[in-house]
Amino acid sequence: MEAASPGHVSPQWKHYVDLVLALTIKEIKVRYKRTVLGYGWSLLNPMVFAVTYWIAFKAILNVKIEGYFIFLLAGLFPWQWLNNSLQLAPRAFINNASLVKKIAFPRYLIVASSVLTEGLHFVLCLPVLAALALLFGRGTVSPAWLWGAPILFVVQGMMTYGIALAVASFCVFFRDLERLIGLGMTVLFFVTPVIYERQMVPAMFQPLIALNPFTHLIVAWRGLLLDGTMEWRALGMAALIATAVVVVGQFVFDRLQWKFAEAL
Amino acid sequence: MNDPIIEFDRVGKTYALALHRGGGIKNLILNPPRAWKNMRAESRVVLADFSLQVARGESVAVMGRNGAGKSTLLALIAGVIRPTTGTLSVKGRVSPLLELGAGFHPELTGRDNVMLNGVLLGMRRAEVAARMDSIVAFAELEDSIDEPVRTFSTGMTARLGFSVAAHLDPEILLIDEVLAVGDTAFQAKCIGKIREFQRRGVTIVFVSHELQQIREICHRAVVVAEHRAAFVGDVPEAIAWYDRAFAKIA
Repeated sequence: MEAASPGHVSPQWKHYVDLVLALTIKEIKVRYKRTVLGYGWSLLNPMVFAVTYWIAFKAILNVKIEGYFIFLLAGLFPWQWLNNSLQLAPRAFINNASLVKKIAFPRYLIVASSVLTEGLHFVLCLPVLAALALLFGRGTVSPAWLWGAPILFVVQGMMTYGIALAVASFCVFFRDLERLIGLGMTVLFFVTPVIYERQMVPAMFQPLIALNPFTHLIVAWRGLLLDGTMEWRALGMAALIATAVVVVGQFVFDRLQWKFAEAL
Repeated sequence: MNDPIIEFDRVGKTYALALHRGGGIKNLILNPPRAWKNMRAESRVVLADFSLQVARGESVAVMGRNGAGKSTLLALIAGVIRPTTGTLSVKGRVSPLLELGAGFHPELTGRDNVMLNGVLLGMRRAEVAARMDSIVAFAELEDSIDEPVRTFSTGMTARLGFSVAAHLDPEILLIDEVLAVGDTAFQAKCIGKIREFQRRGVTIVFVSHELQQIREICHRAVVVAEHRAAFVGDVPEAIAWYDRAFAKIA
């Protein structure tokens, strides 16, 4: 039976790299078909949100964070990667039903390539953030980015992949999950320190916000992007959670994947 | 039969119907035991006690009425689904292809789709690139290969799909009623390609309702009926058996 498992087609990892590449290129090409702005959208989205939040919280509510616009962007860019990946996750297998039903290949790579596609968009946003940071004189473009960003990229990629894989697998059977994710991400956005600083959260809610895995990610990104320092505690927590999440996600996928072809 | 490349040993396959039925999370949360029970209870038997051996290099036709479980059989060999009971052993690289052009994306060009499909079916990117011209030429689509696939006719799409599959290097080839599409000239070309695979010793499992094609291609045939291999034997005998068994219904 081993020979007939979806991984048998070409067991060497090089073929897996090719599969991820081919699927990622497909994602990008399909996404930008018939759009004028293309990748510009992944810049425009967080920018529009940043301006909106700046108006609401700085101009109107006068929040006490200096350089609030850049502060917002430093949180919104990584958040967008997370958010887009998890919003797309419920449909990952459903939208690729014909592949899942008809071709035996490692299907978790569909989710991996979707997370990677969003990750690439995020990376392309970083130079824009750097330029704006220099322009507004807030934050530093630090050499620490060179080693810090790849580490955080891997940690966030793993965490996102693990969650997305479990969500995508469950969603084949329980479509309701798609709605729940949409709702959940909106709630999570406000209980993650994206538009405010972690220190601003009242003491009694601090343990709660520490339970949110995305808190550590955003805190670490902002430390790196704004101050050029690595928040080792936050990174450690994020890495720990990311590892656990990948293990759980892969477990859920392994248990459910044999039912995909008949449920889709 | 010594060393069969495909061996079904009393394989059963049951589909749980409720897996995609309503209820969803609400039911699961409000009443987990019942939701679970529903899922277990509602099921449909497709194969039960199905046994079959296919020798290396052999071409076997799978016959049966609609819904008999022919496609399930191929999906099991391809490794897309697993048997519910019994054991299945497949000792060779399967061209995991149940439907030509499965996974073609309508918005992508023919060329992009060939690359994607080729890699999904087990080729390296470089291999697909090296065979690209040959794939396009075999499909006779030189003029429209850079157009989006949504502009292709059904026949053109099938031709491209077959052409990708024809450039694979499988040990087991699964063919599911794909030769019904395409014009006669292209069908003849496909048969020629299948003969080439046969000469190279590729094992072929062929699902079709076209008796003429079955006679032309296959060494043996299995008739799937009442969830099992109701008849296994020579093609003419299988066709005669099939006619006798279903004449009154047809």
